[in-house]
Parts: sequence; structure tokens; C-alpha cells
Amino acid sequence: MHTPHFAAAMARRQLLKSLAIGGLASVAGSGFAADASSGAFARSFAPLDGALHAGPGEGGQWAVADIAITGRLPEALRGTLYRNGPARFALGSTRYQHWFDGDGMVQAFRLQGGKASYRGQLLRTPKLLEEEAAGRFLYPAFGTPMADAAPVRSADAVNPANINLLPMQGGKSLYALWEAGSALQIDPDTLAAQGFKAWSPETQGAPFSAHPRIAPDGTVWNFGYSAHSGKLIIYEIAPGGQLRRQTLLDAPQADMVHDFAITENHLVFLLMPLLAKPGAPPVGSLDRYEWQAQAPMLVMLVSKADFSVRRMELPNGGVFHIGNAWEDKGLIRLGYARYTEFLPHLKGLGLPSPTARLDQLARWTQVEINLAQGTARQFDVGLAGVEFPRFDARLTGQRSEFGVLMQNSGSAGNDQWGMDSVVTHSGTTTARFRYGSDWIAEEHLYVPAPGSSASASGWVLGTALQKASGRTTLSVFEADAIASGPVAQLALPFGLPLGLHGQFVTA
Amino acid sequence: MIKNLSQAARLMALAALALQGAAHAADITVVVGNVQQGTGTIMLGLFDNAQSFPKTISKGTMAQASERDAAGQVRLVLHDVAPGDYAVSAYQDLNGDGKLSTNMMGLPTEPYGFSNNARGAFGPPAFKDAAFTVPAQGVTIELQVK
Repeated sequence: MHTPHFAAAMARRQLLKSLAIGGLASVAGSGFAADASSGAFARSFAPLDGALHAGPGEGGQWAVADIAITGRLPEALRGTLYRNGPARFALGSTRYQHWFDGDGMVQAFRLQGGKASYRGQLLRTPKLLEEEAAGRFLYPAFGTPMADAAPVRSADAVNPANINLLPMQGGKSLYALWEAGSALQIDPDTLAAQGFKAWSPETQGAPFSAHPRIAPDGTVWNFGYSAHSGKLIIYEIAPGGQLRRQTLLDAPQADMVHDFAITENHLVFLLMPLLAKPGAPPVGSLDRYEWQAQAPMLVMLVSKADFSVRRMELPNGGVFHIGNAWEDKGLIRLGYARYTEFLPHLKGLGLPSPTARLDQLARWTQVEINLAQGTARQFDVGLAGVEFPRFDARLTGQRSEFGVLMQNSGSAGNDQWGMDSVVTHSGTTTARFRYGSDWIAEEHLYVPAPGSSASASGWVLGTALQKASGRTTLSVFEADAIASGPVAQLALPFGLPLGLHGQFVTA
Repeated sequence: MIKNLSQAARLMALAALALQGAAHAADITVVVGNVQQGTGTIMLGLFDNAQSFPKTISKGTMAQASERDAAGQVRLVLHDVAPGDYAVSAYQDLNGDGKLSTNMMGLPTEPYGFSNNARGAFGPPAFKDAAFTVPAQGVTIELQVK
């Protein structure tokens, strides 16, 4: 067990005290309405409403040169946390109704020498520029039908690049990712959009999903799905960015595939029984998805060597995110956040007020695939209300016990949307830090300590929005002592739109 | 008199021929806009019925993209078209393979467009949305490839 030295322990205690006081004060001050979470959710996007305009930070930018730090930011934690998420939901007379619809915005927290700066940028996609010129949203979005919509001529014409990021070449190149269209290359420093990436003529404009997996040798594996196509595109990209192999696989039940996993020899897909009704466009149209309550979840195993496919079944269920996967004596092991009410949950992620009954949230579920028998089974490990699984990215596709999850503890009320806790787990051991009911915590990720190969040696960091103040704070925890609270908190003087996924690029 | 009658008959015959010619030889001038600078060919196809649209052209023509004017437009003419209802498709064959290139999911990767600038959602529009009428004296239409 890591033992923090005295000063760090002191700082931590002070921090915990200030968190507790802040929490109490806000409860007393606000009267704590039942819809505090959903109100904070919608308010986090309000600064981006309307035509492109100045940000709340220095020089009218989304920028802070020197973020106020409580506690001590570890000197060895150097690099940039990039985060992405839907951010602009209103333009002219038009307004999106679902969290996944907004134009993408990238946030960058740069940590260096115990100091930190921040910069954010709404991504100038072709969609954003065209709609900006028109003064309104023109196209239907995933969860928002649009009256007088313009016909969608290609996926990239409506690509908001709003889900995740892919750094390559040690962060020298950076892509903002959606899942129905191309990766958008962005400048790692200025965050300016530089155009869509074509990995090959055959995959130009084709779907490139938002959760690529990077093998320990730097090889980037990804896939793309398109509702109704019955196909998955597979990409294998060299560390330098050259496409090595591409293929098109038959994939029944692949109308919404958000994530996958890799092992030493396989790609693993969990294909849920969520079907897009005939006639629905390949991009969007949430209301045309239908849950097949009697159908199994399909496990699709793809051989990395020859792209041969095996299929097996798991009980009916839904999934956005999969943790790490690895091969272990004839078995493949993985964890995933499993939903039993996927479609109601997905439809509940609406604006302005997302709803999330606790029993609609995901439970952490471990899967064991028997390669010899061609069977799969799963175990519920008793972690409820979880999402955003992260693990040690150095061990992608290899055995890794340590993981990070976000959790809705339910203590803020059964209908309170949003995560309030960060959980680390290793085997059957879990540790937890609860921000409190005045906070909505976003994805937290694990950054290993430089030069250390030990599990859980390093930091867990992530952002959280304080409901009462409407401000965003980045918290840094010792990875092996998360329950002790953050060792450092970086408080922005304003709030950021609640986002999705982030990646840390070590300096 | 006979001479005059004969002349008249010849004139009438010529007139009839001219009329017949007009009825069967209208020209469709297509101004294709948003043409990308540089290499490639603008490929134009004419469709005379909904069944063949947008697969089988009844007539076609092409022009080099290098003929693009300052406004990014290339002008092509489909000659000798009988009056009636038609649709036109156009694409810029950037890689010179003689077809509208698509990615592995089957979606076009070269700029394309239809008459009336009709657009389908992730596919061709309906024939009726792209259809226009060609009168006996011919017609000029504009469309954009995107």
C-alpha cells in the first residue's frame, strides 16, 4: 500500500474538508431541488448556445493560463488530458433533444511542473461551418428529427466529431472521433480542425468508431458499423498512421456497436439485439431502434491473423463500453457495463432533463469465453450503476486487474442523473471516492507513474461539475489510495459542457 | 407558277423537316457547378424513365474538369433529345476509373449530383424529384456535384 508523506496527507485532509463544506453550503443554499442534476446538465451547455461567440475565459477564449490548484499537483504527472463531448445544442430556432447530438468540443488540460493550463475549442467541422452560415441546424441528428431537414449526402456531412479522441505518434497527431463517419484530424496544440482522415481510398468517408484499441506495440485497431449494412469494417493501422489491413466482415445484429476489445490474437465484439427498423437512415434516428427482448447478445470473435469469425451467445442485454480483454489459458476474459434496459436508458439521455432510474443503469459484468468449447458465460460482480470503464492502457489486450469506473451511488435520489463516485477495482477489491450529491463526475482515467510497471502506481484523474457553482474541477488521485480523496484539485472559474471520453498524452 | 409551286413544295418539305428536326433534336445544356479544380472528368448521364433511374443511362456525355470556368462550372450538352420528362446525374470522376467510386460501405467517395439538385438520404433521390421537362426548343439546367 502506498503511504503518502505528511504534507500530501495534510493537503488531502484540507481538501476533503473544503469539499464537505462546499457540499453542505450548496445543499443549504439551493434548497436542493429534485431536478438539481438535470438542471446542472442543461446549464453546462448553455454557454455554447447560439452562433459562435466568445468563451468565458481569458481573452474571450475557452482558456485559463494558470489554473488555481488546491493541494499539490504531482511533479511527475506531466502531459495533456484531452476530453471530447457534445457541446453546442442550440442554434437559431433549432435545438437538439439528445445528449449525443451536440457539436463536438475538445478540452485540453496541460499539466507541467506542478502547474496547469486549460484550453477548449468547439470543433469547426464541415457540419458546424455549414450550419453556422445558415444560422440554424440543418440536418437531423441521432436523437433529434429536424423539420425542413436538408438531405444527408454523406455521414461526414453530419459528423460532429463529438465522442472521443485518438492520439497517435506520442500525441504528435490527434483525432476527434464520432462513430458513424471519419476521424477528424485536429491540431494537438490549438485544437483547430484540420479535416477528415482517409486511411485508404476504400475507407474514405466510412465509419471509424470512437473506441479504437491501441496494442502495446502501437498498432491501432478499430472498426466501423453502419446500421442496416450487416457489415463491420475492420482497420489495422501501424503506429505511424499507415493503414496495414482493412476488411469487411458479415455481422448480423450490428446496428449499434459503440466499443470492442482486443486480445493477443482476437478482436472481440459484443453485438446487442438492438435493431434499426427498415427504412431508418444509417446515421441517427433513435426512435427507429427496436429492442429484441428474446434475442441473445452475440459475441463475435475475429481472428487477428486471418479475420476468420466465430460467434457465441450471451443472455439478452445491452452495452456501450467494454473494459480490457485478454487471453488466459484457453479463455478470453473481459468486463463490460451491462444494461438490461438499454433502450429506455438511451432514450432517457435527453435534453434538457436526462432521466436515469437506477435500475436502468449498467452493472459491471465479467465474461469468460471458452475458445475450445466455443461458449461464453458471464458473472455479475455486484457493482451497480457504473459506466466509463478505463484500465492500464499499456496492457491493452493483456492481463490487467486494475480498472477505473464511474458510479451513480444512488444516494442523491433514485431519479438523479449523473455519476457521483469514482471507483477503482482490482480483482475483488474495490475502493471508492464519492464526490457528493452536489457533483456530476465525468469519466476518470488512469495515468501510470513514469517508469513504473507496478499495477495502480500512478494517478487517477478526471473532471467533475459542481451543480451549485456550475464550475468544473479536475481532480487528481493517487491510484492506489482513491478513497483518501484527491491530492490535487484544479478549479476552473467556469463550467465546461458535460462530456464523454478523454485521453491522456504523456509529455 | 409550276416553278413557284415546286419551290413552295420544296419549302414546305424543308419546313416539315425542320419542324420534325426540332421535335426530335432538342438539346439539354447542363451547367455543372462546384467542380473541384484539377484532374478528373465530369460524367453526365440522362435517364428517360423511373425504372432505369439511376442505373441505366439512355444517353451520356463527358467533359474534362479542367474546362471548369472561374465560377467552378463546366458546361455540357446532351444533343438530340426528344421532348419529354428526364432526370440527369453527374459525378466528378476524380480517379479516372470510369465509375462513381464508393467506400467499403458502398457510399460514394466522389462528388455527385442530380438534376433539380435532388438529394436522397444516403442514396439517390426518387426519379420524380430529379425529373424536369425538356420542351421542343431545348432547355438549360444547373446542378451541383458535392
